[in-house]
Amino acid sequence: MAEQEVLLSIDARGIGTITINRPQVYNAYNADLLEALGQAIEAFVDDKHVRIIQIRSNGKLFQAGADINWLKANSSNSLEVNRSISELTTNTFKTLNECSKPLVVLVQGGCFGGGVGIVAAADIVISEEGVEFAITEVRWGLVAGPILTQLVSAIGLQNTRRFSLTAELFDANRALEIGLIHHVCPVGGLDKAVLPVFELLLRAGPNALNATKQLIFDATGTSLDDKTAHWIINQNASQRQSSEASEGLASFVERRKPSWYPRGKENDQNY
Amino acid sequence: MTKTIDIEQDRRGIATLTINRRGKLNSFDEAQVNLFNDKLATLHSQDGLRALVLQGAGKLFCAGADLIYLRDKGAEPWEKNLADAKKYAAMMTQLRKLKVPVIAKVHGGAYGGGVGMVAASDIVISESTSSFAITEGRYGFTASIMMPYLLPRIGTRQARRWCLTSEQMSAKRAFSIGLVDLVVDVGCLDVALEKLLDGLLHNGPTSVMETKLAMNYLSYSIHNHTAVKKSVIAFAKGRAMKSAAEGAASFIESRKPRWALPAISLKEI
Repeated sequence: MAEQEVLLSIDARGIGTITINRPQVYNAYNADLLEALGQAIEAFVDDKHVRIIQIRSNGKLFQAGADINWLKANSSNSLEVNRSISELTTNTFKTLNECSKPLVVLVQGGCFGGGVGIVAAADIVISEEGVEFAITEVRWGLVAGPILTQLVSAIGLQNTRRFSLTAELFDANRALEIGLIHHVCPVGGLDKAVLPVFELLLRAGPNALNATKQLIFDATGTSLDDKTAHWIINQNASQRQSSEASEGLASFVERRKPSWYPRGKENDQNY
Repeated sequence: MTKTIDIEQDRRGIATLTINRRGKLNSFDEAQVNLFNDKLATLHSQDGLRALVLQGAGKLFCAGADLIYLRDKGAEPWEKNLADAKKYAAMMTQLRKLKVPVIAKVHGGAYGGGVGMVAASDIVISESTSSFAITEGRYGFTASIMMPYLLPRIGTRQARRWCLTSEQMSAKRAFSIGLVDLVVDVGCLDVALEKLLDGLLHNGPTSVMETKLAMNYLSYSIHNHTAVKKSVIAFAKGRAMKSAAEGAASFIESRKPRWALPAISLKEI
């Protein structure tokens, strides 16, 4: 039997834990992982015993975004297949972002691309110090459409403009400053740091929490509507099929600079 | 005639637009607005463009609109005033909608509409000694064209203060409220810029453009054309007010406007 992409557990207090479990590829997601993640959230939302949902991951790195090999294998596929991938991605992030129960995310090591989307979808995020973040999609010729709306909600438009266009690395302290995460703890300290958060959430009335969360979306108009989702899916799929994306993904796999990077420049600081 | 806007493009596809109206603090009059709009339209349709750097020549980045130009347009019939206001607003819209990232490189200061240009840019680097102020109110005008860009950048809470008081803020403060993304020591703008550009050049040219397009589509305030329309009307109305004429006169004559009360000493109270 294949290793499970996500592991689930519920403790006696009503904390449902989703552990992303593909450490051999830095927990990068493929279709199976996205499906399992979306289903896990839906199952926990439906489960009366679950009051709080936490997402964490196994291994050194929290999450490396989409599995580039999976994207690469599919970018040459039909538009239909690519649309279905973009649809799955967009819908999974919508499920995460609009999950009606409190969502806590714990981050270690590093968090890139779609992983930043998981973080932006959470209500409360704790990260170990030294963790590096980056919205890396453009680096590989891709567009971060499925996570952009939540990013704008989480870190504001001005930070989204900068970090999603440059794909630069920023550390946990900078992530704290721009509001992507809420707390930085020492390495190895996630379990301890999250305890007071659970304690506070368990003191709060479960229905009151759900109603508050719903009201936040209603009052700010930040739920993803079908029309916008459709636009994102189309753009995301067609960009993945472009020659630029195939060059970008190839440059990742072959560990070289993409063809669009100006030649004759010796500045290698970003590699 | 000297050129009041310089454009250079290097072999990497990085264009640099320099606002160069030094005697007038790089302010914008009718001719400069038209020139700026033309240049941006040309850049937008140019192949091989990867990013635009926006900077000012001389002592400062940009002092916003030329008050004489504002006052004169305000005195024209409403339809003419409104038509011109649309052109002024088009500068910001074009910056926001330019297909490639816009990086504002600020030295000295940005005031009034100059802050609008900063807010409409994607990334803003500033020298630590630059100052910023939303000065419209000080001269009897209305800060409006910048609102669709300023509000998402610094939030309504900060905007209420700085737009209403016209206070001057430091680069450090501008950074802390989100108007500026990077503050560097004096003389280090180009080093910081090169580092940013190197990052940008690693990224897929089309995917960068598509990402900017997606952000423009997905962020409600820009998507919302009514906000831009309303800001144009407020701008045109503002400069037709009596206070605009008095404010412009006070500027020309280097005196306080009539409404500015002398400082009250404690004795008087």
